[in-house]
Order: sequence, then C-alpha cells, then structure tokens
Amino acid sequence: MFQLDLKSRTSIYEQIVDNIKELILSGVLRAEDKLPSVRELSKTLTVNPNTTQKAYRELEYQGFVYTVSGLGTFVAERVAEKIDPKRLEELKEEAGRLVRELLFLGLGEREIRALFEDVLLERGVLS
Amino acid sequence: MIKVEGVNKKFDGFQALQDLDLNVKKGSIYGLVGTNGAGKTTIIKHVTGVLLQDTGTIEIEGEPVYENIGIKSRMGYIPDDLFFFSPYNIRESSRFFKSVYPNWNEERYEQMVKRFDLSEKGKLSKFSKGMQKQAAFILTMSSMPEYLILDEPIDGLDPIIRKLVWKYVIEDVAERDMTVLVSSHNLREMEGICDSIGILSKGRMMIERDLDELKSDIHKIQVAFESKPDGAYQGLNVLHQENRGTVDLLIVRNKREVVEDIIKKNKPLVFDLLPLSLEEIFIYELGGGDSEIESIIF
Amino acid sequence: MKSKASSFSVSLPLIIENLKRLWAIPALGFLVYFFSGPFPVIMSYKNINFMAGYIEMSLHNLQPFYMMVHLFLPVSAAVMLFRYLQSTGSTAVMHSMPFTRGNLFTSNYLTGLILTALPILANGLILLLISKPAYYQWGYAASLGTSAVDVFTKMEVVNWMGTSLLIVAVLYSIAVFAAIVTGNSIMHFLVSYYFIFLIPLLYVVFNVYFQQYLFGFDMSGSWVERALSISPYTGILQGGGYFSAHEVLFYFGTIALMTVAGAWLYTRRKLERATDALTFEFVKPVISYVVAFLGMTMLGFYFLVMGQGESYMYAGFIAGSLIFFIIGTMVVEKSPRIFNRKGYTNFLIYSAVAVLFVTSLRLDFIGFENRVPEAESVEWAEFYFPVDRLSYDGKYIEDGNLHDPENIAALASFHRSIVSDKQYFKGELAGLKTSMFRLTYQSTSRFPMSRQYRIDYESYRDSPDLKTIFESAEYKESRSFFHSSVEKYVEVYVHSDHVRGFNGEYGEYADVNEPISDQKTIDELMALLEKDYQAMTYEELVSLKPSVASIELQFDYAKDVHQDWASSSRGYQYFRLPASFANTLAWLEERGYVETLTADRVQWIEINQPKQIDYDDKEKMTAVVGDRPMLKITDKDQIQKVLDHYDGEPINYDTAYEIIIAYDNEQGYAYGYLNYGLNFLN
Repeated sequence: MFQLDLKSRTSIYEQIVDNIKELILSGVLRAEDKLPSVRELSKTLTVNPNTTQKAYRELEYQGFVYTVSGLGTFVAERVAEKIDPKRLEELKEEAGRLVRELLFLGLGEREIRALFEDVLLERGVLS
Repeated sequence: MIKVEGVNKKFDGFQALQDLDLNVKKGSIYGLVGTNGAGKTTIIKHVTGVLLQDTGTIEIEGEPVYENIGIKSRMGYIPDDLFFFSPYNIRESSRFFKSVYPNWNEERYEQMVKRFDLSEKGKLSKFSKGMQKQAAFILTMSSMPEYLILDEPIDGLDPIIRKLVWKYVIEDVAERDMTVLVSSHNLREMEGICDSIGILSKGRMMIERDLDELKSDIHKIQVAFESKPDGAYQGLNVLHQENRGTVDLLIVRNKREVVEDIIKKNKPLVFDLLPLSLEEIFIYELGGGDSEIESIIF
Repeated sequence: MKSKASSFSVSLPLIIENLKRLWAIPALGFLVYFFSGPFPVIMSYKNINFMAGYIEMSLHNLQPFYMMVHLFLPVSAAVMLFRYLQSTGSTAVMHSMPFTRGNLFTSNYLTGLILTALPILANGLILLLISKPAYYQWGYAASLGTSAVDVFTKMEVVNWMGTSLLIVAVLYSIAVFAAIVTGNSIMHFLVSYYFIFLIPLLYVVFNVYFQQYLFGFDMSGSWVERALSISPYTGILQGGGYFSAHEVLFYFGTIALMTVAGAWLYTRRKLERATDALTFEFVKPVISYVVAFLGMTMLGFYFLVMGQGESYMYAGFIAGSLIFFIIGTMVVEKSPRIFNRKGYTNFLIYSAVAVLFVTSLRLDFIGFENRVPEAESVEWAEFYFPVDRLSYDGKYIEDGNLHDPENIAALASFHRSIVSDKQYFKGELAGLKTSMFRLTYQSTSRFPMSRQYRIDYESYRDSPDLKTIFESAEYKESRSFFHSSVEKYVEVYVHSDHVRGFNGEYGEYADVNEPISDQKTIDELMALLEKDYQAMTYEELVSLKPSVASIELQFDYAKDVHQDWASSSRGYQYFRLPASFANTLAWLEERGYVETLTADRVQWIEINQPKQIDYDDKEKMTAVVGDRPMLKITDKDQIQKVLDHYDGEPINYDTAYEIIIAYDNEQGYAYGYLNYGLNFLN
C-alpha cells in the first residue's frame, strides 16, 4: 500500500497515520472501505503491531476511520463537525508557508491560483 | 507479562544489578538498551532463569521464573554467546528441541529452514557466526515461545536476513501475542521495532518508557527571531541551550504542542522542531557531558 | 507448587541425547576390555590352562588394561557429561531450557552411570558365555601336589562384574562431585583424581608423621590395608580381587555421600562461576591447604633423610609449606596474583594449623606415648616378640594371644617399664642387638590399642614380666609341639652343624642325615622335644648360647584348621635346637644324628677385636685367619673354656669379641662371640 521511510524523523506511527490519511483524502480509499487488520498491516510493513494499533486509534480519534469489533476497521464518511480547529489552524499556516515559499521561488500569482484550482477541480469542489 | 522488581546482584564484590525494576507488557516488543557492561546480559540471564538474584523478584505471569519448568517451556532464548551440542547439525538439534519443548511446530521448522536456506546436514559448530544465529533463531521460533528473549540477535546478520528475522518476530507478536524482550546496540533498528524502551546504566534502570512517549517528551529546536523578545523561552524546560549567531539551538523537555505554543507566540523567523532519535536520547541521557550533547544538537 | 520429587526427576530426552552424543566412551571402554580380556582367552581357547594365570589376574582387576579403563572411563564420562557447566554459553542455554537443576543433575548423572556400566556388563556377558574351567597352579602349590583351582567359573565372572561396577561407580560419583565444585574441564579432571586418591594419601601421610613422632606407634599390619581399602581402586590391589562386606558397605556409603553432596551443591552453584577454577569458596582451602601439607611433608622428610637431624626436617617443613602453598593457591585462584591480604591471611591460618599439628605430635598432647591401659580393662592381648625361636620360625599358631589376667598384667607392666624409660628406648640403641616387640590390647568395649617398640637384649633378658609370660602355662600350652592344630608329625630332618656333610661342608646346610620317617621314632623324638620345651626357663629361652643343630619338622594339619593360602594340608617348622634341650640332644647324639663340638676336635680358636671380621668379604674373612689375630688359643683347657662361654650372637656389636673356631683339622670353622669379656681365660 505504501512505503515507510525508516530514516525519517517522523515516528513510524505518525507516518502510518499520515499515509492512510493521504490515501483517504486522495480518494484511493473510499468511505466504507475496509482497512487491513492491525495484524495484516504490521506484517506487511514489518512494523510493531502496537504501533499500528496506535495509528489506527489516532485515525479513529481524528475521525477518519471507525472500528466495528469483530469485523475490522473501515473508512469513515467525512463528517463536518469532526474538524479539529487546531489542526485546521496548523494546515492553514502550512499552506501560507507554502505559498510564501512558492512566491520566493518566483512562481507568479496566476500559477499559484492555478495550483489551488487544480486540486479543487480534482476533488469535485470546483466544477 | 514480565515483571522484575527490586533486583540486586553482586558478582564477587561487583554490584552488577542495583534495585532494578523492569516491566514488559504482554504482546509488546521491549528494547533493552545500555552501555557495555550496564547489565543487559545479566538481567536477561535472570529473566531466563539461569542466574538467581540476591534480592528482589522476577516473575512471568505472576510466577517466579527460577526453576519453573512451566514458564521456561513457553520461553525462547537466544543468547549472545551461542551454544550447540556438538557434533549436531540443525536437524538433530531440532529433534532435541522437539523432545523438550511441548509446543514445537515441525511445519514451521521446515518452512523456516527453507526460507533461510540453511543446510540441514552441516555441523552447526562449523557454521559462520551469522549462520549459527540463523539456526538458533529457527530452532527457537519453531518452539513457538510465548516469551522471546533476544540478546544482541541481529549482530552479524546481513540486511536481508535481518528483515526476515523481524518479519517472523512481528508475525508472532501479531498472531499470537508473543512478548519480546530484545537487547541490542543497534538503536536505529530498535527504534523501528520496539514499542517500549528500557535504558540501563551501571546496573540501574534509568528510564523505562513507551517509545513514542519517550520521543514525544524531549525535542530539539532551532529558533531565530527578528528581534528576540525577553522571556522568549519562558515556560519551557530548557535542558540545554546554545547560540550560533542569531540562531538559538535548544533541547527542551516538553511536549510538542507546548513548545509550539510558546515559540510561535513570538512569531519566529526560523523555527525547526525535531524529535530526538532514540540514539540521540540515549547519548543525552547516558552521556551527560557537553561534548556528547553537542554531538546531538545539530 | 512442585513437589520435591518432580524437580529431581529424570528427563528422558536429555538422557537419550547424551547417549547419542557420547556413545564413543563406552565403545572405547568395551574395546579395551575385550581386546585385553576375552580376546586373548579366545585365541588360546584350546589350551586355556596356559591363560589361567592371566584370567585370574584379569578377573581380580590386577591386569593393567582393566585397571586403566577403570581409572579413566568414569572420570572421562563425568567430564564430558558436565562440560556444559564449564562455559558461559552452554550454561546459559541449558539452564534456560525447561529443566530444573535437579532434572539436569539426575539425567546427566544417570547417563554417566549407564555409560560406565555398559562396557563392564557387555564384557561380563561375553566372559560368562565363554567361561570354561581353567586350572591354575602356582609353583609352590604344584610341588605340594595339591589340587589346582578353577579360576574361570561363572561366579568369578559375576564377582568381577560386581567389583568392577562398584569401583567405577565410586570413582564416577567422586568425579561428578568434582564437576560441581570446579569451573573448567581441566580443573575438573585434575580435581577428580585429587579427591579419588586424597583420603588414602592423607591416611598414609598421617601415619608417616605418627611414626616419626609417636614413640610406640605401630606401623605394621592393618593400617596399610585400611589405607588401601578407602579407595576401591587401591583396595582391589590387596583384597585379591574380592571386597569384604564392610568394604562394600563403605563404598556404597561413599557413592551415596558424593551423589547427595553433588546434587545439593548443584542447586547452590553460582552458574556465573563457569570458567573459574573452583566454584565454591570452601573447596579452595581444601585444595590449597592440602597441597601445602603434602608439599611440607614431602620436603620435610626428604630433608630428614638427606640431612642429619631434626632441624633439617623442620627447615624442609617450612620450605615445603611456603612453596607448595603458593603453588596450590595460584592454581586455585587461577592467577599468579595471590600476594594480597587474602593470601597472607590464608597462609597464616595454614601455618597455625600446621604448627599446631606438628607440636601436638611432638609434645604428645593426647598422651599417646605414655598410655598403658589398666590390666583389668583388657580382655585379651595379642603379643608378638620373636625371641622364642621355636614359636616364631614357622610353627602355625592359631591363637597366640594372652587371656590369662596374670599374663596381661605382666604385659602391661613390661609395657610400662618401656614407656617410663622412654628416652633410652627412643634412642638409637646403637650397636645393640635388638628385637621388635609388638602388642595389642583388646577389649569389646574399646578400640584395640597397638604398640610397637624396639627392645635391646639386656632389657628383655632381665625383665621379670617377660619371664612370667614366657614361663606361664598359657604360653607353654599355646606353643606346645602337640598343639591342637597339628594332627601328627610325619617326618623329621636333623641337621648337625658340626658334622661333615657329603659335599664337604660343615654347618646348617650340610646334608648328612637321612630324614626320620619311622613313626615310632618320630613320636619318641617329639616327646623329648616337648619335654625339653616345657621345662625350658625364660633365661634358657633368651640365651644366646650357640645351637649345634637344626630341626625341620613336617606335620599334617588337623582337619578343621583354617588356612589362607592355596590348600595345603602339610605344615613345616624349622628351628635351631636350643643348647638347653639336654634330653633331646642326648638322644640325638646317641643315635649319631648330632655331634657336639668338643675341645679335642678343635685345633685353635682365634679371638678378635670387635668388628674386625668382615663377614661380607669372604676373601678378607679367610685372610684374617693368621693375619694379626688379637689372640690365638691352642691350649685344650682354654679352648674348652671358650667353648663353654661363647655365644652365637653379640649383645653389643661394638664390644663383643669375635671368635673363629677351627676344628676337624681346620676343615670346619665355627663363628661366635664373647659377650662378657675375656677374664675367664685367666
């Protein structure tokens, strides 16, 4: 499914969380899709099952997945109220930082706008 | 679970273990790290029932380990100093293991031998150290232990074999809730595999934490302000601070959110926040001197 | 909760594994047994009597190859089996496996017993299968025409199996004990043999000290046997291949003790001591002190022999203690760095003990030397004092002991007289004729008390106590010629000293007379001998007057008499006829068996200074004749005086005059001594 970068400073559990989130956000994993079990994922990635367990719990906490005992873990329907304001703030800042850097590198206003529009188009927000 | 409490051990006047506490939860992979001579092998030999402590208790599932056949038959141990019955080959050794360990799994044994591509006919004493380790691993894992104790297991194994070893370990932890206690110097590898860490120094347990918690407790930051306000670092548990021109390098013992809150308040121009790697934590906690700390700052 | 029984239970997989790996040990042992035992027998199967001596030797474990296997196999098995305890890697692996220390001990112990027993059992079975009668006669018995013994019976083979198993079991259990207290295999090997031979060796060493220091210590007899029996390996050497019931019990006791001690110590062994020389502190002094003690003894007595006097011995003690204490401690600590406080303290302790030991002997703290029991508490006494030639030159005495309270009192009194004059008797008694005197006081309530002294002639000649004993009815009865162990006398040889034999010789070995075989004549002669013997006084008994004849008696033992050697019902006695046996002498002279030496037969008598005649130098001896004698007597009256006065032995070699008597035209020579000076000549 995805690769882990063992050399990265980001802890493994964070990487798992981020990677699964990315898959969900990019639409590879759709709502109600079943995620591999903790056991299976640990074996596939050669990762400590407790770590995988933690990642799944974090994803559940962040609202991206939900668990049905006995059946497994599934991708959650995106629900608006579950937005974490702090996270929102973080991402906004990060977006701002990205834009600043792009400007610094010489990207113009039009190109920056185009970038954003492409993503919105891709997600079907913009028609 | 494995519970070591208040263990003391003296060897001919030398205090090898001092008031040692160690806890390994069921189904976790516990990494035991420490400097050479800190007592890692010694405590492992106690946990496997080889040595008897002077004071304190060592229990698995609430039962003392010493002379406990029931517990030992569900425990697998690969020491740093390997031993095989000479003149046996691995097949003959497997027959002995089979007769001794009640949960021996012949299918797994066959499969692992194939997977590791080991010769069944060769005398184990003639194998290279790496191959001996592999053989020991196969024999131990085929006895389906509930508790796996490894002393410097991957020392001398090539990367492919190492991956294979961890794959089997993870599989058993995932499938059977196997509990693992592993000691090693290879902190990078430990970091990738363990969920709990115990840092041993001079026979004492210095820190015993969940690995993620350990890493989330302490950070290094690189900050630069346009104009540095007073009390910019107030509220932070600054362990070490250094100036390099306009940039400040700090090690702080705080959670990430706390650090971010305090620093960002003053709108820094540069702000890098990094967790310390296990290696860096190790050096910091056990090194103690300025030169050691400098080596981990940046 | 685990019961004690299960924690020492045997683990079958472990035993099987051990047997699978170490099969070479019994195989090798069996090959040696077979090729040195059954194989040569099978090769000579048709003429098995040729092999009889060898068979007996083998079955009595006196054959060198058998002895070698018995010595090496059990120890080797123990070393191989317990090797895992002697390195850190194997110790960790074995003890982390699902075994208790008890399991490991009993499983390995049992395997070792099996390994050492198998070759013996296999070999024994083969011997049983091939056993057939093999008759053995050793030279002397053959000449007596007595029946030979079948040495290859099934019972003998079974006995061999039993004794061999016992020997190896004892050695093995000691070697297992050594395994537990040592930390590496070399030490294990050495310490095994150390313990195997230690106790007998110490027993011997102690006896050497006792003999050196304690006046009256009895070196003879059973102490050597006892020392050798402590270890079955040496015990077999003198049991003639059989163990007594006591010995068997003792050996089983040893096995039990060593095994239980080994098991118990194993549960307490600190496994981290693997590769150390010794794993228990308490064993260290047992080795280093004993090594020092043995070294001290060795050098001390070596110096004593080489040097002159006790001071050399003490110098040897000190040097030996130092050198060997250092060596022993280095071995035990496995390091040359022993010159520290611990080392010095240990040496001080050792020295204190050694000094105490030697002093207590030197000063006789336990009062050994002076102890003479109260005669009333003694029930009977064994008594050996070969001044009574008739009694001690071959006559079989079944019960030569003293039961008569008067005799016992006299014995104790004589004993006391010796002890109260300790300084005299402890001395060298240089130049004096002496005799060995040995006694043992026995009573059912106490241990026997044995003593041994060297007594000079004049002391025993003049003792009223000995006179009492030797003239007592009890003594005369027990030494009678018609003792109950004799059925009848069948032949008598009489050798006369002063009759010329047909080979031209005079003296004891000149053959002249025909043996007396006529029963009536024999009976007559024996009656006279008995009469003279019973009438003989103590003074006559110890008299040194020369005898003129030797008597050799052959007799038949009474049917129920026990004997130790190969069955021979014929007994012999040979003795010099005392000069005081007047009746016997008269009878013999009458019949021409004996001729006394009278003055008319003598040509001259030469009297020499003491020690002038060199009896070992035949040439010199005959050359002396005529070469500066002190005095030469030719006058018949004087000759007769000398003949009346001279003795056959000197009392004091330094002062007794030596005489040579030439008779029968200088064809016969007799030798003697004048012990009381020459005044009688004037």
